[in-house]
Amino acid sequence: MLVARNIHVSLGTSRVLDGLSLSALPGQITCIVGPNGSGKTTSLRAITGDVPYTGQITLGGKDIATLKPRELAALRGVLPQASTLAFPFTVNEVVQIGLHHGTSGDHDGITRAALRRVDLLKYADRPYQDLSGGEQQRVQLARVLAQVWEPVVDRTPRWLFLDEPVSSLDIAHQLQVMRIARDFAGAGGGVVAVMHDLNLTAMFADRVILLAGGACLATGSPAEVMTSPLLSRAYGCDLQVGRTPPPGTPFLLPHLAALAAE
Amino acid sequence: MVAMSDTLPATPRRTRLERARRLHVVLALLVGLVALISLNVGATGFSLVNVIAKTLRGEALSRMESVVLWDIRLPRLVMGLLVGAALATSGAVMQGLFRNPLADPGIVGVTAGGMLGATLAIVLGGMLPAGLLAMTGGTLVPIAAFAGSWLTTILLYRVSTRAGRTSVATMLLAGIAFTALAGALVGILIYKADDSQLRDLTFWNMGSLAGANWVKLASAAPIILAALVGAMLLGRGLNGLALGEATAHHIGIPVQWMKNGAILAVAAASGAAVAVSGGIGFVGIVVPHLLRLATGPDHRALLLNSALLGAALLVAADMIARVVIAPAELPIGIVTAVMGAPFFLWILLRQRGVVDL
Repeated sequence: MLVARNIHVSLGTSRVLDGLSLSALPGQITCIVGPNGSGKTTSLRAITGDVPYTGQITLGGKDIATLKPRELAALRGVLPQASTLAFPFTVNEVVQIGLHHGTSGDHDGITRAALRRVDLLKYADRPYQDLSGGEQQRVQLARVLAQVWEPVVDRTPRWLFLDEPVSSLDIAHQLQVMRIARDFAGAGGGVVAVMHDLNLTAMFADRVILLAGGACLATGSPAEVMTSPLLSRAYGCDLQVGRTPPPGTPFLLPHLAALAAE
Repeated sequence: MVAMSDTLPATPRRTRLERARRLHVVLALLVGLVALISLNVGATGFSLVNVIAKTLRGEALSRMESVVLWDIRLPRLVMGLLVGAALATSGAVMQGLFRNPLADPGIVGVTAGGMLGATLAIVLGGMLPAGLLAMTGGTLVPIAAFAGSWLTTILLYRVSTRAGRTSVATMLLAGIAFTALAGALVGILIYKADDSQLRDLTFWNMGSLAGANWVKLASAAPIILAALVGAMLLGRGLNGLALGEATAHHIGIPVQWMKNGAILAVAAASGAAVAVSGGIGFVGIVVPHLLRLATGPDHRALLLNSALLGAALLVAADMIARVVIAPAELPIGIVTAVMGAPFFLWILLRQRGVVDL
């Protein structure tokens, strides 16, 4: 499992994470939610080793600070919020860059399968830069999927860390990406996603971590965390959480919040 | 366009990487061909065919033939090959490192740093204690050029990188500032130089392979070869870096280690090349760019192809330099600039929207 204990991160003079502790289990989708500036992305970047932090983060019992980049790459894939590409690589080539040498034999097969999974196999030979923003983000997801194609290797679960994976996607592809995450978790892998969309979070998360002010405000199932009082407090806005008919998934309508504000 | 369906069999179409790897062979043959022609071309009436025929018949070469072949053309050829490979590979590595197709040791000031180092060695080297001088022997100038290039590369990278992001605009501007500063310092040294040093420096500034001899080669070749071998190992890392430093780290590349390796390779290769041949520009931009157009940006093949095409191109340019105003010769830096500068402008015009400064 993933365990972060007492994480502090300062960027410049401001303290972004203030003693954050969280954990996530393989076989589940864990969503990190919270208002802008609450430290969602920073907490993910600490977990992926991209920002210096104090505290301890372990993945499968191993301190990530002691693992080499190569060992980490065999254990987890990371989808950043925004990606850049410097040279005119094709879609196919971008996915292959993510493939770790030696982890799997059939690179071409995995590349094709990953692109098919995100519905972009037809663009395999197109220049990446010619694609739209949403398509590029799906190519990046395919790259990350290809990197950790088997959710479990030698009984060790692998992880997907996704930073706002659906932010620039249309609704069909939002659902598609969340289903990919659910399948990965269903096959035994771990998924940790930073999410803005609370409704998708309620639909797909097994566990929700609600951040506010750089610390954890609440943790639990969507039904436990996504309540009107907790969300209203976290987002500083009067929110009314509704419930679908059984299974009773929580949902939020901006309309209700707007009415409450008037 | 008709969408390719999933049901199509995994077609045996050749990927760009495979084509790029085939290009290795083609370019290697090209290098061989250019090298043979180069040995045959020159101011004296020396024919390689005659020499080969004589050798096959077991006859001794005339003194003239032996001198032209062994002491003039062969070291010059080897120097051209090494310098061309060094410049083109440095360009490709630097472009990968800075994530920009316009980065080049000549443009961002690395060459100027090497030149400053070499000038310092030429003009002030005599003031070193005799013991130290004897220890460095003929290698003082290349070592100084290498040190100058290395320090400049590190300085540029530090100045233009903030929080893991390298600003190309800052890098180019810092390069301009550094080139100017190095030029001024070189100017001061020239002012202090004596006549023979002046002659050395002037020819050297324009870039030339004319001074090639086995002693110079012995000092530069090991550095260049080591840097080239090192550079060839950077392919996968540079590919990862194209996705940004964070992502490169995520896919398992030891980013800091790799960047240091790249900086060292660029500094060593371009520093040593500058030391023995002076200011030869544009090879580092033109060669990788052409190859990217032909077979894509995958560095695993691009680096070796750059080395090969750079070697062939520089030897060809040297032939032009030797032939156009024979029996005198043009500095090769003029030839590469005349061919390369318009090409560089063409790149700029073609991707006006992409180069954001």
